[in-house]
Amino acid sequence: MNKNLSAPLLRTARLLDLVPYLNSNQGISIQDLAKDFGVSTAQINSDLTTLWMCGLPGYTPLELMDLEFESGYVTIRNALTLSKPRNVSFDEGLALMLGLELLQQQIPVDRRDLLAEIEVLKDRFSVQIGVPRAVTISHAIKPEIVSPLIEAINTSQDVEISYHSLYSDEISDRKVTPLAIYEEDGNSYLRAFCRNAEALRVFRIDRILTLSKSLRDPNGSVAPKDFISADDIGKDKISYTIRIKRLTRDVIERFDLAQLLQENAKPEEITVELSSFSGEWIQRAVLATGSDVELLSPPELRKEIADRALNLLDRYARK
Amino acid sequence: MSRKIERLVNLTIALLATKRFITKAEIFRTVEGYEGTPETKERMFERDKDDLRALGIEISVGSFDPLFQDEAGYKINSDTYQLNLGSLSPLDLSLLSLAAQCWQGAALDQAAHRVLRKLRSIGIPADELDLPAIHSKLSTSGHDIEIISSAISDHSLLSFNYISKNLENHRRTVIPFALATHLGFWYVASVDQDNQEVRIFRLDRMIGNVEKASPQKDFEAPQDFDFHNSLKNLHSNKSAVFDVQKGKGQLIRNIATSSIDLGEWDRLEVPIVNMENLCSLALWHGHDVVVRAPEDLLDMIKTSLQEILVDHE
Repeated sequence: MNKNLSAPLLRTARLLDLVPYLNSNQGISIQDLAKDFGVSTAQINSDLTTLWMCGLPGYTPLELMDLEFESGYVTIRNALTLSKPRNVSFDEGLALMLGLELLQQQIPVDRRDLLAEIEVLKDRFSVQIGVPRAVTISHAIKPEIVSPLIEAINTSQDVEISYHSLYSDEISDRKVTPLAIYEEDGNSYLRAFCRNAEALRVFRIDRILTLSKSLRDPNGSVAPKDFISADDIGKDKISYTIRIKRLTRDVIERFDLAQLLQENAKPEEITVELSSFSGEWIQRAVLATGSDVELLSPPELRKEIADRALNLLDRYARK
Repeated sequence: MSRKIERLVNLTIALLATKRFITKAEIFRTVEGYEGTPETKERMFERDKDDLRALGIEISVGSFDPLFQDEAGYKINSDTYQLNLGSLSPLDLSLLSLAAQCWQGAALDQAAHRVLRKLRSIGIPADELDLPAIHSKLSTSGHDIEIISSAISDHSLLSFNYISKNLENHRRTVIPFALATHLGFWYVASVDQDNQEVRIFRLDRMIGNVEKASPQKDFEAPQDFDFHNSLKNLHSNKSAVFDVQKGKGQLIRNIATSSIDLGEWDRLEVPIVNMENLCSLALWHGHDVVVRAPEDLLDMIKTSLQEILVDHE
């Protein structure tokens, strides 16, 4: 709804929403108010000054809303007409419906009692806001992996995981101290101290195949907590150059070249310089395009690709 | 500008507070901010009504006095204006707050924020629910989910440009009936109007605007459609045979329908949905995978390998 609203209309909406918010949060500070509404304190001050002039026809002090600012804290009185929050719009209802669905899939095993509760809420929304039930979320994250991970983080426990590493295509068993879960580009990651590598590692949660609790070795080193702030593993990126022979959707998505689409250019051949953390990934990615892409540099990876292609051809010829 | 905003708020209050319909004349006389010639006031009021509608505020129009068909009157029903979710318990409130939080930085982030503020305006304290915050958040892409969802709810036609595998832009017209996310991407399931078949589209592959057209009253969504299964394993009558090294090829194992133990290798049966995808999957895995059948897939792999060899030698 609010997508294409002009600035004055957005401000009108905010004023209408400020009144019930103040009514239920009497004595809130200007700072908190600004934060909650996502605007500057100057903007909130100006909003409140405008609200001061509003009220019921007649506009005598009796009909106007009473706003009180006391050293940066706000209270409101005499705002009966606007005291209830406005109705939920379609997009707001949709956000709640989908959020509830996601919540349902992530309820820890010991709180299954909440599932029915959520179901009732979803039903109510579907009817009252007209959000279709056919809108669903399926998330790759399995609660049997995520719940124990969260528990392990909260209790500083170690876990044993078997992990599928995509680039090397290997499944390894590791003992890790989970530190934090975070999101990036629609994927969930676990930051953990890996006891096999004795170093900080990042794992994509959907590639954790199994997980079990582990007893901490009392003689083992304790994962330094301040590692959480250390942002990356500190691996160097490899620069590489590819020549695109056929620009396909697969090539664009594989090498993350969305900007080529924006430029709307479809030249016959394009040379792009890119970088990756893994030489293994670069080789596999180039091979997987089935000759839509040629690797120009670095030369050692280029040679490796030629060797791999030759080996594979040999094998298929022998068959 | 702030005078206009003031007037809109005052008009809302006046129309909300009145029990009966009030006439335009009464509004001009009593609501602060209507000034100028009768024509100016008239224009102001018409614009104000449109603006309030744009904010989702419904103004009902009725007769001032049902016995006499005189001037039309206006009011805002508090039932339609106010949040109306029945009685909510503190527990409900915390569940809804948690639900809204999963949009952080994602498509409906702003809407989620607005609704969170509304929930906090009800005046019911949230239960301190001892639940871990939602850890998987929704993906950022998918800015059209709002328009698609509203088309789902009233069976409207949707048109959009979609990039095909070879980067061609095709105009598609569909009736959507379900929306889902899977592995970080948004998908819509729909009935394609060109061939009346069920088609799934990935939202980030739609280019430009998604346009919603008229509702189709006689549309019925397919009953036996299982979105999650359709996204997970695509069904096909034909299958390919892949030999995969033990402990390797997890991506292929994920989609295989059967597996025979050959000792150091496993022989997997993989449904053929798209030949190019299988070729690419085989090449990605290098020497850990050997494709045994069908012949045309083998040819495709061999041709690609020869070309790769020529390019990189």
